Amino acid sequence: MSPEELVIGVIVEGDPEYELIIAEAEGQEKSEGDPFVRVRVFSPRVPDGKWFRFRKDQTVGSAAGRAATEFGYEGGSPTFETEQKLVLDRTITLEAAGVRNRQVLELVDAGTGV
Amino acid sequence: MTALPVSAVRAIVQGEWPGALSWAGRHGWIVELQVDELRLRASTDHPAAHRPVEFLAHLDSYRALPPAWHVVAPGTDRDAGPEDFPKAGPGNSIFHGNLVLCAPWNRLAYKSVNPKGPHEDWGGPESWLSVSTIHTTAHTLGDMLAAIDVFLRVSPGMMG
Repeated sequence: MSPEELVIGVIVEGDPEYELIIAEAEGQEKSEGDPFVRVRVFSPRVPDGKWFRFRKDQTVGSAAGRAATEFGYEGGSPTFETEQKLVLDRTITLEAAGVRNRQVLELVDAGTGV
Repeated sequence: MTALPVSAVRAIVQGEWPGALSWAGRHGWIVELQVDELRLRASTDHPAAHRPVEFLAHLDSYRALPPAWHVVAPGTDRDAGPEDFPKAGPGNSIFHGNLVLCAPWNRLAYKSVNPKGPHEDWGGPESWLSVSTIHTTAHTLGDMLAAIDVFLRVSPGMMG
């Protein structure tokens, strides 16, 4: 499957990678040349997470914004929090943030206190 | 000040509750929705102080107005003193020296509602959904719990 066939954003039924991702049939990292990372994102708004495909060179803020829109957010400064409770810097790429295939991330807001 | 019928508030809160409850399960919080009283109680352990920290939100007129979030002495309805109120972490925190959660999504942050509220510059609590997004933004109860958790995680201890 060429990268051109894959789109950025939520992975839903019918997506070329849907069965692989949801069934976890692959069980291993994609090849090093793979430009994408697939992550499961949770939001405090709904019980179930959603799978997303992002480009590794996409910024955390851009990817989190895309996920936030999918969960119905408007505005704010969305970013991701890892299961280790690390809030990711919105300005760096997913690759630089160490985001891996199949990683579970949580949407959080990076706005400041006042 | 805008008021919403209790039935409308209950419907809104119950619609948001499954997401908030799931969030709490993923993050080790205990949350309880007291539907009749329109209150939400939420507690966790302070990560640095290793002591319980507890929050009580009054939800009347939510979402015409933001909830009134109190930090309370654990197991009580009493507003927390410094010994039970988290200390601000690095940068700008929601844990304010006035012992108020200082965020647009807290009704008690508005001076027009609460004399200890630090803010007169946000257009009043009716405008809480449109305050600048530079500040912490949380438009549902689950979002608010997640925001509290983020700031609590970098709090170095209790104020007192």
